[in-house]
Amino acid sequence: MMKVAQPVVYIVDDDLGVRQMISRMVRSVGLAARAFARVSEFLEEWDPSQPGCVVLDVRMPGESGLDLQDHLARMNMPVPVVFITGHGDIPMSVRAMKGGAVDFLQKPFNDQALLDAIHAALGRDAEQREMQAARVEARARLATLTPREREVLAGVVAGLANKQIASQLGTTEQTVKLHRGRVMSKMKADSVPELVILAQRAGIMEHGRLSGDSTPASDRS
Amino acid sequence: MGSANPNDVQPGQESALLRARIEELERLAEGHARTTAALREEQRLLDSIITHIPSGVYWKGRDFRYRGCNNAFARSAGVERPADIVGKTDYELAWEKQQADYFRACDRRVMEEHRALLNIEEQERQADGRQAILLTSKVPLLDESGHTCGVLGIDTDISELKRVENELRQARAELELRVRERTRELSAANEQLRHEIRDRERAEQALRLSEERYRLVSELTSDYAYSFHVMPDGTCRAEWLTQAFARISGHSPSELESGDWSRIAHPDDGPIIERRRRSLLAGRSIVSEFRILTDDGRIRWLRDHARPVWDEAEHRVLQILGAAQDVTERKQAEEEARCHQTAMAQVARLTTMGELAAQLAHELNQPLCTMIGNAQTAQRLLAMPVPDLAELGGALDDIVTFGNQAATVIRRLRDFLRHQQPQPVLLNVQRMIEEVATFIEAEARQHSARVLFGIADDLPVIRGDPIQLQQVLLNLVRNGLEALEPGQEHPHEVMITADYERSQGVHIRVSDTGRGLDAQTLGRLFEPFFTTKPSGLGLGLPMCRSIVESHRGRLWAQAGHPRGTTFSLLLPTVDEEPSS
Repeated sequence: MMKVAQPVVYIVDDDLGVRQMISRMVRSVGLAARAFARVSEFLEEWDPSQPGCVVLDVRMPGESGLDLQDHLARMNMPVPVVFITGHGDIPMSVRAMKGGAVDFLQKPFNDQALLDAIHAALGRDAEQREMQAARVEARARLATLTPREREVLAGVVAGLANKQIASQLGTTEQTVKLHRGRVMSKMKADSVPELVILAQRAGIMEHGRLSGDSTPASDRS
Repeated sequence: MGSANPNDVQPGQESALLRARIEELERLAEGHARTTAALREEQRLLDSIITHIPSGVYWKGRDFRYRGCNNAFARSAGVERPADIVGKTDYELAWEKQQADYFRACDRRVMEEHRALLNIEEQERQADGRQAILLTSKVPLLDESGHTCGVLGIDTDISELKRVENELRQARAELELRVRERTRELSAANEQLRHEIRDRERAEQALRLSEERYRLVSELTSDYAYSFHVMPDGTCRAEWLTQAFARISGHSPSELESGDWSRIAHPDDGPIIERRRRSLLAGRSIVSEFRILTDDGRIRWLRDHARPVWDEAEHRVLQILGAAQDVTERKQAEEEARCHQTAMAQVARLTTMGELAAQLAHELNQPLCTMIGNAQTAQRLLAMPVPDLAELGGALDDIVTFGNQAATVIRRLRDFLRHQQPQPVLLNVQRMIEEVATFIEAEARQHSARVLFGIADDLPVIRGDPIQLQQVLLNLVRNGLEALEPGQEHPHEVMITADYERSQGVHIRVSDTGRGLDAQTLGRLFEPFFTTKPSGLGLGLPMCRSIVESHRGRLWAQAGHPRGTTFSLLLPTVDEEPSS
């Protein structure tokens, strides 16, 4: 199991008063807050391995909040962002939401609205991190398979019966059964659907179906 | 008497012969006597010549002893008479030994070589001690058989000649010197003259260049000069007119023959031309700027400086001298600059208002946001079983700090508005409205609307700040344009009228054909922050009213007929302005 770290709310706003106020508000609900006046300062301090979210003023001198959002997306760091703005700019909020923003709040905002958005952002972050962890685990299990076992796994995921897999691989049904048992155990799967999900997480589905019979073979184990 | 021979006696015969003999002898004696006399005469003549010629003549034998000399030589040789020199040698005479040696050597050469020495110039101390220059010639003396038997010398004293010659030479040298000096002087004078000529040439060259320059300048510059003769009846006659006139105006100089500028002047500038004419005929110089029409109908601006020449005797202006400059480019630039400035001022005014509002919104929004957030956090903290007092204190401190910051923004705004005091000048209302019209045109097109005008032509002038009043008008027209309903059937118009109302002032109305306002809205229109527009701040109309009131005018709104809204702006004229 992964170690559970305390999430951090990063606040980036060039206005000192707003920065302090949001930090205080975040602390008042028992969350850790770190505030920055500039995007560049935030990027220097930010640890992507830590869970958290960002509260970002959309329009600041220098790099804008939207630019940062693009920047993070390009770096494949899906940190959830809550935007705040002094200007009710609809095209800008649309762009922010399309870019994956959790919420877009106009100053002055209701404290509950901001705190709800922050909690939603942290929830999304935790989810993303969990999924990422599962993906890593599935890949680790997949890595323990032999090439032959991988071929058998591909057949099972494609929904082929043991007989079909044996004929494709040029071996006996008995041998396929043996391989299949080892695949289930190595992948720590209790059922075929579970195995399919794990294979999916590990990225094996990218190779697509194997050729041959497309009949589902869910419970013919 | 004759002798007779007795043997041949024949008395008769004998006596005849004797007579004949006697006659012959007598003849012979007579001839002899004649010859002797002739010889004597000749001798005497020769002696006289020798004695008297100014040269010294002498002769010596082979033994170098003198055989004789003439008086002149005797004198120079220091003997009393020529006879005294006979038998003497040169060593026994007046000369020094060295001289005598020289004479001897010469004599020897002549006698031994049988050859004459001619014209030998020699210095010789004379017996009287005088140093003389002699020109000597020595020739050998020959006996009957042709042998040399002595030497004949002739000395000519050329001392005087030499002196004269010397003097002449000196005179000539002096002359030459003088000539040289004179030549020098002459050449100096010559040089000077050459210099002067050169200087003169240079001056002439400079003059030519200057004239050339002047001609070029007059051809190239946009200036031309003229002179007109003024007739007793006040009409003018051109005396001269420089080239540039034709170039600038395209008219031939003859067209201005009569000095009547109004013939080529822009019709609108007639009064300026007339004023210029009157001033000049009254004897006053005048600078005027007016337009002329070129032969191809273009307009050129001239700046004309004219000076009358007053004649005391006739007691009138006889001549007008002047120069005119083509200032078209400058005028156009000025005009462009003026238009540009006006446009810029208006744009700046409007953007200033817009930006001011945006800036104000932002500057107040930030502290407001901070204050609300902190207040809500404080409430949250207070709701906790054990409130964190440090956080609570921080929140309250920030509410105070940022509340004050907001107050500062408001104070700054108030200061800014206070500095916007009106700068009143006398205003032509019609022109003011026309300027607004040029500015609003583009916006009207955007709204697919027309802006109509109905401006009375007897409007009196008012006193006011043109910028502020135009700002009010622009606001009203804008509001009118924004109130129009796109897509509706009725005409989309904003009408601006201006009339003079006695004892009231100038009444400007801005009416639109828009959706109109209900009675309640009409009543609140001038309240600050009351707005019917989604993005409005609700400051435009209150600001307009405050501007109008600072001009001692009134601004109100009422429902339009048959539709829309009419804003009325009443501004007192200068006469109706209540005194304060």
